[in-house]
Amino acid sequence: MLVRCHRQFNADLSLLTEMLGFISGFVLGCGFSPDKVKTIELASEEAIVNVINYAYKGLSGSEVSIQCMFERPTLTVEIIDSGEAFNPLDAPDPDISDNLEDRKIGGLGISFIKRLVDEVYYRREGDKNILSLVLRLDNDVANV
Amino acid sequence: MDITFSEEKGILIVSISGRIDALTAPELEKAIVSRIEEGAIKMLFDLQELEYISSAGLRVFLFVAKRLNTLKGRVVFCSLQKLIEDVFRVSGFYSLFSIYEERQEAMSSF
Repeated sequence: MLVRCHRQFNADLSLLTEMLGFISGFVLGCGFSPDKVKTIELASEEAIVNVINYAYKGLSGSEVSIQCMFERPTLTVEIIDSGEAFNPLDAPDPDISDNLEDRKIGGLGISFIKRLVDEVYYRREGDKNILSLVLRLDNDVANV
Repeated sequence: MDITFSEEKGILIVSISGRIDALTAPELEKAIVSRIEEGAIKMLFDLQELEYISSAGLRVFLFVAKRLNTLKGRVVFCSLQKLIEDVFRVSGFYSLFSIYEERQEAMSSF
């Protein structure tokens, strides 16, 4: 059985708490552990902040759609925007130099997305960018 | 997010509880920068009550650490929860900072 939940938000950073609350509520209901819920919130935050700050460059009147889907054991959270085509997964890995002076301050968000969820995909559909974050319930050690 | 500052043996202990995300990170930065301007250069971040941090929060820590580095100060961390530990690890913070399990251990590292 597929359970699907979809909501549209103004692309406004002040709605971040509400957006993440929508996602975590859904994910918690699927039976994931609190740590996994935070992990998907984290990856989602990075994707959403990217959309608001870069895809829309702070432009008002834009929207972010969030679609959560669960078909045991697979959870997919899709972050959808209608900015210019942009695949965040193409961004180079950040510098993780161990020298504080050389260490760059930005670029960590995308690497979180890649490293914290089980799978991540990007696709362009019409005029939309869709980033899919995937977590599997059977990879959630707290549930084994 | 709540921030509590306390001082012990010339070390500013910054206890942060709740969530540091893209919304709350600017507040944290402002609060810490004003303490640096007041002269604090040794900082211990006690993260025992911190439940969530995104890259916006890590950026604040990096920014503060760089700034204190130029002032010949130092930043250390202690008492990380599991998720925070994971986030620090994938960001390479373990090779960048001194991170301790207990506050006492962190205090005596100064």
